Amino acid sequence: MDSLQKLEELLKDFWRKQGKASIIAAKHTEFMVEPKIFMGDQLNPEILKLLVINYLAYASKQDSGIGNIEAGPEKIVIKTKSGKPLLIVRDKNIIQGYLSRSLAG
Amino acid sequence: MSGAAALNIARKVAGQASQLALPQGKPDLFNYPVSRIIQYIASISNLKDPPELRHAVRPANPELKSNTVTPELQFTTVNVPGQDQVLDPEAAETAGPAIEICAEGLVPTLMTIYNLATTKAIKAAAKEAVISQRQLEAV
Repeated sequence: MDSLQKLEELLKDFWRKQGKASIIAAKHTEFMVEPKIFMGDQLNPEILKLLVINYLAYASKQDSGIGNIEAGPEKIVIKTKSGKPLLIVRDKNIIQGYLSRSLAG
Repeated sequence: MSGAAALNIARKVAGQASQLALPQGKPDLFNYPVSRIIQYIASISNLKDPPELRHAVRPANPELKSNTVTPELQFTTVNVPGQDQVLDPEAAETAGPAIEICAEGLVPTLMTIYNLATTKAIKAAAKEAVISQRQLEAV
């Protein structure tokens, strides 16, 4: 198993543990529909979303001002440790969730 | 329709099927063959061209193989995902994607996973994949 496959398996495991797995029950068996992790060079948006939500939940618990999260009402910019923008979150639910947790924390 | 053909359709619509949730409490029973249920899922899917979102369909129980699917197979529970998250296409287009990675390519994607990972295992695997990918690109 190469490193990419290993990462894919770990991300699938992460996805299952986050409760995103849906089991389709059938009469004689049941199926789990698993996400395809990489689509070409891109990460499956659902997996990316899950990673972001998990990261923000962890960050807000630890320290909402860890320096590499720039949060505003319209977007959240997550930066690398060196301060370089890594990704931009525009999903309203994720932003509101993060901001409300930060305020509560 | 053969079980294999049904599975192929399931793969095509699995982007939508992955959002299916088992209903709470006593589920409504859909006493239709698997092919009918899959057609139903396809009919509610907004994905017009879903190959890039194809998912693997595999038995939840590892002891059961996917080829155990037969035309007689019946789904017992199916639920439709909420329809309250329909975005205004124009607004979505002008605002940009919900989550956007700032750089394109596999290495930046892997670097993003590395940075977002909250477990040591995923972080280590992402780091390993970045190194491996960079070596491949250098050749």
